[in-house]
Amino acid sequence: MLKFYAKLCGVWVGMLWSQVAWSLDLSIEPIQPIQVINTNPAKVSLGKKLFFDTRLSHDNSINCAHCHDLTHAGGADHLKYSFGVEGREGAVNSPTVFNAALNFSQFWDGRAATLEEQVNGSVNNHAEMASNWEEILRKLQPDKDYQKLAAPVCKQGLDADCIRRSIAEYEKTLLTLDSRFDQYLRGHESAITAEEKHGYHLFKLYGCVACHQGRNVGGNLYQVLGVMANYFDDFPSNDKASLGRFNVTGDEEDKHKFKVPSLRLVVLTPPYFHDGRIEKLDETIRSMGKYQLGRQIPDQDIASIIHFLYTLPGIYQGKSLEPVKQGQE
Amino acid sequence: MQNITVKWHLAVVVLILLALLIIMRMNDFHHSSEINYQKIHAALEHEIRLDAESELNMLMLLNRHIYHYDQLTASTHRLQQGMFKIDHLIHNIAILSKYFERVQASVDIQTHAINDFKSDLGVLINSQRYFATFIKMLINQYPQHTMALRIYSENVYQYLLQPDDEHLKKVLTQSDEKFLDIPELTRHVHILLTYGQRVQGSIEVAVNCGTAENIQKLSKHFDMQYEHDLKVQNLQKYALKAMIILLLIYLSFLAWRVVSLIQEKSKNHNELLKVKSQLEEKVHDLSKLEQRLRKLFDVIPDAVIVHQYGRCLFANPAAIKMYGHKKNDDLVGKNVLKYIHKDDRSQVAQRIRDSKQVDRVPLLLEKHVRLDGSIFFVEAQGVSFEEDGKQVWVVLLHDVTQRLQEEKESLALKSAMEHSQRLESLGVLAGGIAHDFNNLLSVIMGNVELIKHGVTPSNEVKKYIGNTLKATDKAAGLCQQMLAYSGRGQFIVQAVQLTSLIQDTAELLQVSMKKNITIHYDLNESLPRVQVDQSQIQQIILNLMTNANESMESGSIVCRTGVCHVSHDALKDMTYDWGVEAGDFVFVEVQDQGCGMDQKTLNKIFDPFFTTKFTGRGLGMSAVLGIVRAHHGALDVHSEVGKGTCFRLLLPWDKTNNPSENMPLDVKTDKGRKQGTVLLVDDEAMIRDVACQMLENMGLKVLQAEDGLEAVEVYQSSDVPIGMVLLDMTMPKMDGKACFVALKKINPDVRVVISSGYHASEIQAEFSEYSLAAVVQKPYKYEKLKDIVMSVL
Repeated sequence: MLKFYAKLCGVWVGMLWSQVAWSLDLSIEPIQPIQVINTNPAKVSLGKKLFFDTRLSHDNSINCAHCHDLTHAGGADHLKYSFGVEGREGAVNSPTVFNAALNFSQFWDGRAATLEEQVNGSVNNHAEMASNWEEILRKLQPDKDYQKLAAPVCKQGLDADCIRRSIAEYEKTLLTLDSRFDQYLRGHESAITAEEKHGYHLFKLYGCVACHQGRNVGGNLYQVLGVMANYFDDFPSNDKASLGRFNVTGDEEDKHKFKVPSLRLVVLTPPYFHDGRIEKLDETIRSMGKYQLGRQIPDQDIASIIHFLYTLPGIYQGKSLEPVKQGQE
Repeated sequence: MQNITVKWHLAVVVLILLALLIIMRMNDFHHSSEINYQKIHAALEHEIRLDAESELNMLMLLNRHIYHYDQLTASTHRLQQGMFKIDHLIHNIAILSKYFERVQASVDIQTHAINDFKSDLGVLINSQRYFATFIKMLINQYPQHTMALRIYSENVYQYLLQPDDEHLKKVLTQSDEKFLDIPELTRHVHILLTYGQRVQGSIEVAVNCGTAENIQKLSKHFDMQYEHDLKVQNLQKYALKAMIILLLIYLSFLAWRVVSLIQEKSKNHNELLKVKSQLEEKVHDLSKLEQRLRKLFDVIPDAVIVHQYGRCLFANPAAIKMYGHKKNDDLVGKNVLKYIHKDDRSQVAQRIRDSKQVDRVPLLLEKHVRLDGSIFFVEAQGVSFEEDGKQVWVVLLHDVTQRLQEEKESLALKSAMEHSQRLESLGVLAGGIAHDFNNLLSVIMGNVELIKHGVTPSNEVKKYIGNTLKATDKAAGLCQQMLAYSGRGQFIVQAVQLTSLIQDTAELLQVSMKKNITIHYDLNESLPRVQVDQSQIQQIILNLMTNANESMESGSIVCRTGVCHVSHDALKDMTYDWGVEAGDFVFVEVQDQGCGMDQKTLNKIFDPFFTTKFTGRGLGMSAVLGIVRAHHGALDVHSEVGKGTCFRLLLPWDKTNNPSENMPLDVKTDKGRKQGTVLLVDDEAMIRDVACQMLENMGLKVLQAEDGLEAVEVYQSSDVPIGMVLLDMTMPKMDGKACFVALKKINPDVRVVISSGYHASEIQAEFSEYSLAAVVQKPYKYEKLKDIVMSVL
């Protein structure tokens, strides 16, 4: 009997030990798992309808999903620059809307401090929706569906502020949760392969985590593009957008400084950089090594890092966003 | 009385409740400001905590206790959000705005420093970690610099341990080692030497930017302000309480006063009731009067508008209807000038401007406009009166549109009638002249014919006789035109297809045209036949074509035929009321591109002797009109100066298509010499002489009579049988017709040949009940008379 209890205790201790042995100390990990953000369901419903409503644009031709395709393009549009109304072309590459709520500011130059401000920017931008709130409200306020949806959400009825807040609320639900890497961080050691773990190790070793860290693997600081080598000497640009954060602060130190993009859906959202210049992920990592780290990263290490990056997309609406095979993103 | 008391009581109760509400509201206000006070303090304290938290996060990151920026970013974000909240809570406390702005400025500096810190720290750490590996890589690459590289790297590490060692920094930056030409090394060393200070600097800025101090200052001033507000509120509260007490005392006084007043006034109540009933009666009377006056305005068929300097103050239903409005409000308040046609608007505006100087405007005819834009005419008359010390105008408007239209139509009708009568009288005149002239021509022609028969062919006189005969022929032609105009010309009616008629005449027409003028034919080949005198219709076509030819120097004339339907109204414009019925017509149209005619000329073209040509006699178009009238047809003319003229001759389409008998009546064609006695009846002695001579030359015995009565006598008393009577129509005592009737009574088989200048159809109509042997047209030639006489005998 004693033997039996001793054996039982041994098994239990063994199991406990195995759990302890596989769990990571999150406090020392640069990347953190994504957690759900609490939202108001009524506001989310209204925001979702607005997100897909083309009447937000001047000529009723485009909606938010026009540049942020949730189904086929990882929340972006796979274009170098997106097209707005009347075929107008934007000045920078559209980032993914997935996990945008985790970014500390919006747009490449961080000119919008919140998601609400970002909605304002896109609606009024001449190269995007080219509309204004007076025009939008004239179109949407008579809509009985909106009147019904807005009633429990907005005290004043459907107004500009209500629209901004509702779309932002909906965007807070656009999170890619429970990625294989997040599972790994939570202690499921077998959630990622040895190759992918090696890639993560290299990702940290090369110092990519100096910028790409936190829940969103980026999106929480500004960084100069060309810390170690001058990117804009190699790719000169007269475009005002290439001045980055300087356009917001006017500070010389902020020239060519951009918000560090999230790498959560990087495998799904080519082309890369603010100017959408690079189509391939390996070339992008190579360029990052040169301009940001001052290092030449061997091809084999690049391949491992890419393996790691494939573990980052999570699940949206019960469906994994991770491409089935690498290279088929 | 009781009612008034209740109302007063109610008012007092309401006022007391109001006072209670104010007191409660004051308590609430105090309570809410206390809650606000707590909220603001909590927010400020939270902001201080967040400031400290962000600083702590920076230190933890620097010391590698945490490896991501999420916590620092979150605390910075919350710091900014906290500022929004504080702003929202204190935005209505003006005195705190400058302290708040200071806090906001320090938070902005702190945020900026934190952002710089995040950017620089990652770069610095990367270089620190990579530097040893990089030096090893360089030693492998440049073994000759192994020692120098090691010393250099040791100095770098030494500097990292003692960042204040300026000498060492100088040594490192001013070193002339060749490997320093490698840009990556230069960049890494630059980062290692400078970014440490930058990171440290960012932390110092974040720590020393004064966020916490400024929040404390804000908090302190908020407390001061709050205390001050409390004092003020207390004072206000006391003041309000005092006011309420005063109010209550005053209300009590009022209540007492009201009670005494009610008692006093109750005495006069009955009198007041009487006065009230009297007043009510008067009001009732006035109301009835007003109703009557209003009804009067409502039933007036003419529009009545009251305006003040053009602004409509009142409009009766007739006015509203007149202008096409639906209700009174649509007209009242509008400017009346809106309803005046632009032609009259300036005049009316002038009258409105001048209205201060006059008190009456005479009856005027004005053109007004309805709401739908339609125009109508009114007779307007205005009178001014004074209302509330201001001059206003009442204007009476009578719609005279229909009356004007009727007057216009009546005038046009009168003019048409006059023209028709003029043409009629001219026709009678022309017919009379032509008749007498015809008789004279008969004499001349007969005598000349007789002379011609008595003269040997070789005689030179024959030539002059021939000329005389030609001249009389022409004179006879002229006579025929005059008769045609009067509708009494010679007339041989038969079924004619006008297209064929024109085609037959085409060659003749083309020859008579100028060289530069071409004729285009647009002819209906299956045109139905019409009952007409072929030669007269030919004359019309020739006349129209000749006129078209003369109206232009070059161009084309279009000649069309066809069938059309013409309404009664259209016919009214085309005929001069000679009574043509509406229906289907066969038409011949001649259209030129000539000089055209103005309306004045158009009105006269059918007048006899009116001509625009130098050589014309002015009878062509008159004859055309006469022929058309005789055929019961119509003539439509359209002309425009400079563009051309189009004549359309319309002839009634006889759908029964009964071929009419040719006139003269069928006569035997036996032209052999016959014998017998002829009774010659004519009031003109000269005609009798000539005809007698002609008949005798034919070998006939001739009896003569100078009127109908004598003819009957001669016929009765004649010993020899009279084979034929050549009877004139117009005679004194007994005319041709009466004579014919008398002769028929004597001998129903009597053979009578009527000799007349009028056309055969007219004669036929006159003698429709009887059978005529023949009709001979004056003036007649010997051969023609002979043919008829021989065929009748």
